[in-house]
Amino acid sequence: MGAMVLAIPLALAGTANASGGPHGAAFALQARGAVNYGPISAVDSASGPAKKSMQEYRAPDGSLVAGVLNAEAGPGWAKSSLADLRLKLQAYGGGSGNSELEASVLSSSCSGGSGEAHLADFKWGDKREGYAPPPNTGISIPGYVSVLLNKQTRNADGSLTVVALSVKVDGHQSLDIASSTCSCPEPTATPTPSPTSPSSPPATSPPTSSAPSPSSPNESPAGPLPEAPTPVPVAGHLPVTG
Amino acid sequence: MEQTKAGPGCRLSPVRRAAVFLTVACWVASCSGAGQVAPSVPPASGAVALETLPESTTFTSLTGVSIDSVTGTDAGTVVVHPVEELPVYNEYGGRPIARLPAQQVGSPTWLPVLAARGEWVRVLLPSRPNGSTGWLNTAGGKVDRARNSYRVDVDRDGYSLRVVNNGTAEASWKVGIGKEKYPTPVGNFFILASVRETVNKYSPLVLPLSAHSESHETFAGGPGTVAIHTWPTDDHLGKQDSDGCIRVSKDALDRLVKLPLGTLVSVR
Repeated sequence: MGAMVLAIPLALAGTANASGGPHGAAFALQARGAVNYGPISAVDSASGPAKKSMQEYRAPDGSLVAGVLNAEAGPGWAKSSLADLRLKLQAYGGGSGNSELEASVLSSSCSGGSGEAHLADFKWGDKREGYAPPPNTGISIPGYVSVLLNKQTRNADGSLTVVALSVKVDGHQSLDIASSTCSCPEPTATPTPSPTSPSSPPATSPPTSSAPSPSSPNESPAGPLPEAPTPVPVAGHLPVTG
Repeated sequence: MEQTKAGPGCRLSPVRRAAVFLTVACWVASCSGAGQVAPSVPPASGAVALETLPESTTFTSLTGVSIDSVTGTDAGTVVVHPVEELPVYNEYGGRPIARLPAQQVGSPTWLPVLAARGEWVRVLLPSRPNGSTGWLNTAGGKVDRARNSYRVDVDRDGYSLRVVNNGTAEASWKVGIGKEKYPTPVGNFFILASVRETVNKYSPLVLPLSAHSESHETFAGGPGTVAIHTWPTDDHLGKQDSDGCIRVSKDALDRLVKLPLGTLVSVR
């Protein structure tokens, strides 16, 4: 086993940076419930960019083994990963049958309020999952176990937490693997035109640095959006692939 | 791992939202005084000769599009409807590459929004290649916006389809999918239209998706559009038996036809 990293119990999800500036936090592994360990390789950018790495971790009860556990965070960004995960869900009350879960790589990253997760060679019984699952991809639930891939949670302070693999057993035991949390960027005020503004460029010119930043599609200038309408079927014909 | 750029997922507080809107609205509306010159702005749609552009429909294939990268948690939670034909741009403030009609297969065009930037939105398109995206300039009141809390996930390996509402699985059903030779394509698509079929008898209602078969360039005289529909019997469920379409039970279709047009359908 590699050198152990001191596990600092940080409240990583939803943390607001005391200074109010961009913030990041990450950990590789954490179990909460009847089985408790971690967070492993926990880092936080409160005192500046931080990075931790562990060569291997074995859960005390032998229920989990993983290698190369990395976590790194800086102002407004975070990333975490681990390799060669083998997880025996029975130890967490996960029943029998499809109880062993494996992946060769699990990683998450988060920057400026958006994030992603990647998995390689993910196997859980007869289930296989792709390299970059969409956010909050749930997979089937044998017994009381639920598994969420690329779990993305918006925290109360507006920050985003991305967990590559989140396991919940019977609503009580949780296991989060490769977690990254980052704050949203401060909005960049778009300058109002000044008398000295340059002339308009040709219509197809790319946006300049004064262009608005990416924003949430949910933001509506006119207030809350209406619900999308229920469609009314229209009589017609389209040959489709049967 | 490479870090992503600031994405569409961040929400602003109401105060910040109002502040940003005011600056953006002023910017788009060229709030300069008389004789003053507006800052550089993306093109207005009225300046584009629409008749020179290819249509973006299920019948067309586009060039110059970006392929989707549905990564944000907000993707698909807003849908947009052009009230009249609009140009589609290859990128924010970019060049026009297509024209988007207000109707698709008789239904009003509703597209899922993947990202927003000021008055511009990046949307999934109904044309080939699968996953085509483009940008719309929504300034000028020619685009309706609405909220959509639904998503549909299709798991080909598990022969299952589930309806997700506000991030919570609401219901799931067993489905049939494409044969090994004509697989149901994988990717992020959306419900394009709701068709009460007047010719085909196997399903009274058909929900064409933005998806197209990768193995049938055309099918039965159509453009190889993949759809969700029923089948006269239920023995197709749990099987690879179609030419790409997703076959569902009657009770599944009864629920699916109530989902808004533009609802994201993620096939894995």
